[in-house]
Amino acid sequence: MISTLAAHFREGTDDPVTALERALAAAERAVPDRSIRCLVPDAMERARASTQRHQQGAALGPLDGIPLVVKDCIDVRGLPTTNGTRVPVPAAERSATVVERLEAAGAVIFAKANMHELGIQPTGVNPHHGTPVNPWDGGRIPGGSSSGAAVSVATGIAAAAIGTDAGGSIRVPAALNGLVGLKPTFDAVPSGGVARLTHDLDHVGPIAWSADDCAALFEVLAGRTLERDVAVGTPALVADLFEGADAEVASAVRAAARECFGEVPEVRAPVTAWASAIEFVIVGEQAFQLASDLLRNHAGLLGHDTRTILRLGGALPPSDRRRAARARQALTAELERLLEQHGLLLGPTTGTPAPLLHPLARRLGELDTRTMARLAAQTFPANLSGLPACTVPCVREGLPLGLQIIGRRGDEARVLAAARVVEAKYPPRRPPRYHGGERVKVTHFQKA
Amino acid sequence: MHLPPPSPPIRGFLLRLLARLTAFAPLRRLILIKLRRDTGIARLPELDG
Repeated sequence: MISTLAAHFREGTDDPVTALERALAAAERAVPDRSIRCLVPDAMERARASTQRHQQGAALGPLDGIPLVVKDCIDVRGLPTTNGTRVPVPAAERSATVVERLEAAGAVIFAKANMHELGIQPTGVNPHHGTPVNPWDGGRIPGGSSSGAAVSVATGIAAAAIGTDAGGSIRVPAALNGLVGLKPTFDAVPSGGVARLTHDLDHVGPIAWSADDCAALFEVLAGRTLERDVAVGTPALVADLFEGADAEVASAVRAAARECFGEVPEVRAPVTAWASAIEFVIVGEQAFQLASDLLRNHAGLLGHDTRTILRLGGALPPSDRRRAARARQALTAELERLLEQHGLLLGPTTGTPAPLLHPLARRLGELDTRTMARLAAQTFPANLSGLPACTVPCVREGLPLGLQIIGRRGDEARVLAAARVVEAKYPPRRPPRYHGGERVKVTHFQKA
Repeated sequence: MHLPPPSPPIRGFLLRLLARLTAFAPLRRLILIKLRRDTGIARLPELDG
């Protein structure tokens, strides 16, 4: 956890160089997991500079020296941004704004994390670079599209990760890996230097072990301070978000919400219930526009599923786009109205625990609209409305599940305050597959 | 939630075939009919923004 590491750095019982050596050793042990795509060459230099600052009592803040990974759709100077594809791309000439902000705060970004191709599906399956192994059950999908980001945190490689989310791509893998993930308010975090799936659904945000860690990262990413003592009030459960979820998921999330917040009322959001269809139209249309060059020049290098989704998305009739745009406005108004009354809205993050990974999907990808919707129908509304939302673990045994908390525009402080209430009752759990620990000699990534 | 109706996942040979067929506009339009049904887009109501 960031807070624990930072405390050890302050006390002098640990230092950023040693922390980075442990992270690199864990990455080396985790090579078969496919969560890390490549290492950042100047990370050790940054860790040494950070260690020096700590020794001189001149640390830059809570992130100084913390080893982080970023999803491979975020530019890091000198490295190619594959965006999950196998299309050859030149090295980025400069880092994304969020990377610059994190490095200015002293963070040590040491690796880029694997992801679903173009971030176009929430499963995290990647036939090109390998599918990151779900540390809770290797036979299941890791969740995506920030799959490698979540797996690298859950398995003890990185203290935290930065992902992106156009339909649940931070919250879904965070939930399936037992982590906290925050999708901030739309445009709260700058997206310069980040490859986008869509024009107005993409968000950059943190995946970490705790709400406090997410808050520390968000403050640097967004360049603003969050109030810590915010009253949570009485949130409401959105009944429509539970419909279509597995019975075990619905009952676990309802029970957790009542244990943490008392007798919470249930409210209806009938337009929100159409989020899947609305999201499919908007992602289909915008992803086709943004990836049209890729499709024209490198179609053969894209996955069969990605190519199919892009082509079909581009062929949707204007009447679908018009209906989806109007429904999106109605959905946003509906959620904002409910938030005026209740402050926070709750629901499951996913409708299912991590689904099984089919061997054919591992090799060639898959197109499974039903599974896509069961994984991300509950996360789509916060992307469509641009409202902040986070996931926090809400079970004590078995496969991880997430409770989703949606807040008013710009009210990340209250969203994370509610997440703290939940994590006090449901502390983080370490998965069976974990690579953190001792240092080893790093060899694999030097060849890569 | 208005979730897509159950439909079999497309993998392996079928997925390769689908990717090839969608390269041709007339076939793409036919496949789109199934996609719109499978994703619930066809049932999306007219709403006032």
